[in-house]
Amino acid sequence: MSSSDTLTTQHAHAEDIPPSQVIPHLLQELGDHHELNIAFTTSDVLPVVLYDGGKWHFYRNTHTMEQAGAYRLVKGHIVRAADGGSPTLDLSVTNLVVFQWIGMLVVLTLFFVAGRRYRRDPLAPPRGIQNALEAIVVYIRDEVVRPNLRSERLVRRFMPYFVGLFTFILVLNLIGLLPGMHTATGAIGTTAALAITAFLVINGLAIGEIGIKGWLHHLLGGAPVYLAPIMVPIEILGLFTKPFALTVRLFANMSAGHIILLSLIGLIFYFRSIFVAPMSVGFSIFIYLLETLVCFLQAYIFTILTAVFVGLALGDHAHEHDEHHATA
Amino acid sequence: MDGLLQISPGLIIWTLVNFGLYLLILAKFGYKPLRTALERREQTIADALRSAELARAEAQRLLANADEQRKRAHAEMVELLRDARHQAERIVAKAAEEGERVKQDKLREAEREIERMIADARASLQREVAELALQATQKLLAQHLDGEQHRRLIEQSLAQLERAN
Repeated sequence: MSSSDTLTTQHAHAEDIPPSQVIPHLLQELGDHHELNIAFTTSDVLPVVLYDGGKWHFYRNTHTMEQAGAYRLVKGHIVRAADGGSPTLDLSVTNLVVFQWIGMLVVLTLFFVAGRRYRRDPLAPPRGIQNALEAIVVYIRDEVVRPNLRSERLVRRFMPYFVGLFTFILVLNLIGLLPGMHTATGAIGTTAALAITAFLVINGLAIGEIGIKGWLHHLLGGAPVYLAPIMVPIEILGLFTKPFALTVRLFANMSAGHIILLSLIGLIFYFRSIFVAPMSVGFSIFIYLLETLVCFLQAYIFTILTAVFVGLALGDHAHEHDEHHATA
Repeated sequence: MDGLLQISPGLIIWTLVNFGLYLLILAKFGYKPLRTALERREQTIADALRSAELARAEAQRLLANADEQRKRAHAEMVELLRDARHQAERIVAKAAEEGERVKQDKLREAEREIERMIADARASLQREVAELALQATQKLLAQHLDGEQHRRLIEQSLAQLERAN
């Protein structure tokens, strides 16, 4: 019997899971899957893409993959059937990838709807979605990007990135709150990728603006040269701890709320009593509302921290550089 | 638990691809129209504010101008009134003076006339008296002429007349 079948069985008969396995099982549910898990239904429709032993392997879904015989799905992981080892790279379209697509689609649709109104009458007072998007964009521009990037040229160039970052995280966070949906930002993979883009933007922008020499000079952290043996390693470490902190902060915040919710609901299963339910539900609602706040907060924090790190990496050079450009 | 904390390179790569794609589409079709419209609206509002400020200054200037003109007109009017009053006073004074002068002239003329008439009257009266005296004398002479005495009488009365004159 394949483990894929086991998983499906578990979904169908949740009461068969022994109490000690409830929380591990639910935590497993929070992570990524090779099956599409949307609106309380699980369907084995996502393509499997593997790079192993210098060759690409494509399967329509995990079922056809297992039928082909080379790979098996064990506890949600794809392993080689022959020796049980993991493939070099598992590039399968997973559940959370689909949720990212959904989030992208939602935001882009909103922007298109707003954009249509701009084409019709650019000077009309903004309404509805258009107004909400404008509020977000203007807030990010005036409160997040401008104070940190300082130079108007950089603000214009990097506004799409920050708007994209904020809306991407926010929409994925919010989708995760909907019943039957998953939180793509509650997986380290997603947040790590976003932090990688932040790392590239922070250092790319700094090198582009103050030059590689200025960037290296910043590794001294403003200390005298003889402190370089201490400062340079610390600053190099700092380059990586910043995105790492971004990664963990967003992931942990988005997962923590879900874990608390699962724990509260899990109490009902542990005690096997309906009388625990009112307390569980009451606390869950509170946590749920808190999570709504956290969704906005974490999207904002990720965005503003990225902007602040960019500002730090630029140092005091942004202004001077702007003047050079003006006189040139 | 390992499912949650596991870092899947596949998901990282997929997220990078998705996010990159998302940024491209958003920047080109979502953010750009919004930014353009936003900048245009901000520009329009700034222009409107600036032109309102200009219009306000212009109105202020016009108002000050009008006030200035009004003040000047008022001063002019006051000046005119004062002039007119002076002139009127002068005319009245001149007229009074003239009147006085004419009155004096008339009075003097009347006096002269009266004196002339008195002289005339006196002359004619003298003639008349002389005539009468002559006649009376002739009559008296005719009745009795008492030489010297009468002649003295006549001379006396003539002298009297002369004095009375």
